[in-house]
Amino acid sequence: MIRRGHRVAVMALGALLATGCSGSVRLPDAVEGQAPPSTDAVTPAAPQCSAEQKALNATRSYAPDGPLPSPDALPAGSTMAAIRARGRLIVGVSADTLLFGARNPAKNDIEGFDIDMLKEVAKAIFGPDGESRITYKVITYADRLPNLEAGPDNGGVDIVAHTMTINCDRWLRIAFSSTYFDAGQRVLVKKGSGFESIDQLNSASATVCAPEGSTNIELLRNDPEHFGQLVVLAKPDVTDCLVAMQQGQADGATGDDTVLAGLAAQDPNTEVVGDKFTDEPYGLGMGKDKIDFVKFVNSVIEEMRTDGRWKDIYAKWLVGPLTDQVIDPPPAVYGREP
Amino acid sequence: MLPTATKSTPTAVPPIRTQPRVRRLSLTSTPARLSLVRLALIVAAILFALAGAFGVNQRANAIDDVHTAAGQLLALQDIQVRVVHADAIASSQYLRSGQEDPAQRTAYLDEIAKAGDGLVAVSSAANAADIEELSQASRLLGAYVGLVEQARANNRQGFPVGATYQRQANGIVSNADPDAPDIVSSLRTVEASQRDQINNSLATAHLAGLWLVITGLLLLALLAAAGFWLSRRFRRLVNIPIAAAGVVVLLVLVFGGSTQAKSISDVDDAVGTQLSAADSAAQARSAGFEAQSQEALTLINRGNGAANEANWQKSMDVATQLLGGELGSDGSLSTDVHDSFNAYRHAHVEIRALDDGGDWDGAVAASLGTVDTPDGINAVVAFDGFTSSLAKIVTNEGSHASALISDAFSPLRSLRNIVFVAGLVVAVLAALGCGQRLREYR
Repeated sequence: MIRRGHRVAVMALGALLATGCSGSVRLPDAVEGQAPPSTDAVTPAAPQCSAEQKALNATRSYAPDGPLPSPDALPAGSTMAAIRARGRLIVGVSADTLLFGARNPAKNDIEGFDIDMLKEVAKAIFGPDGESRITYKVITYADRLPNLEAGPDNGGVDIVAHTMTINCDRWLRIAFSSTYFDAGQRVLVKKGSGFESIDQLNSASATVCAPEGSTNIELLRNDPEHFGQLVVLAKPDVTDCLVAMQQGQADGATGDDTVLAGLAAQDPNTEVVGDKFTDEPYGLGMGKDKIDFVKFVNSVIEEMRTDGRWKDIYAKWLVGPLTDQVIDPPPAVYGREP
Repeated sequence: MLPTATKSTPTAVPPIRTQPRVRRLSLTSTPARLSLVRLALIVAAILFALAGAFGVNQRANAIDDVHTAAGQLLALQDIQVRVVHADAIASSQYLRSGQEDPAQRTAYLDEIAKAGDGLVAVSSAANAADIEELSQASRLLGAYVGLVEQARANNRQGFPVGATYQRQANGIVSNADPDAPDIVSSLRTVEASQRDQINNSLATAHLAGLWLVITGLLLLALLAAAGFWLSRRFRRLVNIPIAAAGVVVLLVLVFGGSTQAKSISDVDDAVGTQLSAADSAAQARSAGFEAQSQEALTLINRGNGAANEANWQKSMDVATQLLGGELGSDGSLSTDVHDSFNAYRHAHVEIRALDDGGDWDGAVAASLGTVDTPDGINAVVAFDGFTSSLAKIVTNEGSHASALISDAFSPLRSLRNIVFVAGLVVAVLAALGCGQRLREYR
């Protein structure tokens, strides 16, 4: 009896051994998320102008066809008439370029020099209530041309006002108005730093910040004769450069003077110094085949140049941050043929 | 009634006194064999006492380690959730500019304070490698708070540079760059080490159970063999002390084995069910807040928000996997959680459509929950519905797991003492059993 009992006990213990010692429970590893597959299609290389094309003045636009028609008398079948019929002017703008296109949190509006230019275009199409007929689409620098190529019927826009430099390569993809603002690359430094120009920063082997992928940083990297001693700090965006200066990572930041003036306005301890070392003529961008619209917008700008509205807008935004007094608007250059 | 060894007849005693020295030295002699058997039984019994108690103690310690690591894991996840929640509040409130909701500001400050306190608490029980990561998280939390304040100050003055500070702050909480440190990565590294600790300790606890069983079975076999040999050699039916020793070992094996098996089974259940549920819910909740923060950033960065939208989808993928997998597989999640999660997902798609369609103000209002989406969903109510349900799961399942593991641990300390004492008792009984027979030779 006792031996049988032992056998039973041993069998029971075997079972306990099996249940007590077979470790299969594990706390799983943390779950990793999957980012959506990148939708960036392989973009074909942007078309480039030939040397012959580049030799011509890129700021030439299409000359207006006579005086500006009234909003009630827009040519039938024109791009402007279609926009008026739609009831909305769809525009592509920046929302973080202070003074040119930035959201005013107090008013919850986007405002600036570029925005006021667009308001004038909207008034010319819709009449005095044109401002309220604008649909703003905030876009990146890189999205400016694709939005015009797509057009308003395919998720794009009618017109872009986004501190966009007129150049020959861009003319191959879109059309520009005449120059509405002459900007240029300058440098932002801390007040009291003693630096008066980009050359001084270069001589001192100072650290200068510029947005990665911008023409500004390319210039610094590709011109060792003038900028070879600079320590170039690349940041995703130009406002990151202001942060880099505020955090002591950079002695200066470079970009268009218009943009730098917007940064200086956000930090009274900084100032824009030195002469322009590039020329950046800004134009309003439109669809490549919307020549009637380009001519119409050129008429609007022409009127603004002569009736003082351009100077009013300049005074409103840029006297103080950029210059001490109002300057003359850049002259229009025409002569481009479709 | 069985005859006892003390009533054995003297005729069975061999004449050892005539040639004591020779017979004691011979291994073939019965007294020498008897001495050897006694020695073997005493050694085996002491081995049982020591190794068995050691094994039970090791299992108890391993379960205690599981308990500690589980507590650390839950505490770390609590810190992680508080930080990403604070960031979600800061990002959303940025959209209100100077019109911050005071209650949300208080909630933000409260989460930051509790995250800071939590980091101090988990550091006190962390190893050197973990302390390095936790110190980094602590430093980054300080930097994060500074950047958020810079963002607020600039935002209140209408300076767009505030958005850059807010984006930098978010990058300190979590970023995809392996070279750029962030709080969530540091916490997840320490969490991973706690997961390893839990799994390794659980494996150790399982293996530790073998000591008692193997040494017990070995001792039982020896006692059985000795009892059999004694009964054959001395023509007794049974040697009472040896039999008693066998019963003691058997009882300890049955009682100890079942106690050990129950404790490990309870811990397995606690880790595999309750802790796993709390872990999954905490991860899903953290992913939810990260998504909410990214949604606000798509609206703050406007045209530059594509990367934030990709991050939103990545975070929601984590939550979806968890709700459908670990948490949802057993059907224990109420349909409300799934409904509110799906409602929030739909609301986000609508918010993106509003923003992409040019109605940024409408998108912001819908994201902040001040208005419903065009399909009539309040994004904030839907979001809170799913994160607050998950919070309850974390709290309930987490404390349930902790209690189960703690309960599994306590009886093992008593069992260890019982095994040790039982081993010594068996040694004494074995000595007595063999000693009775040996005395018959003197």
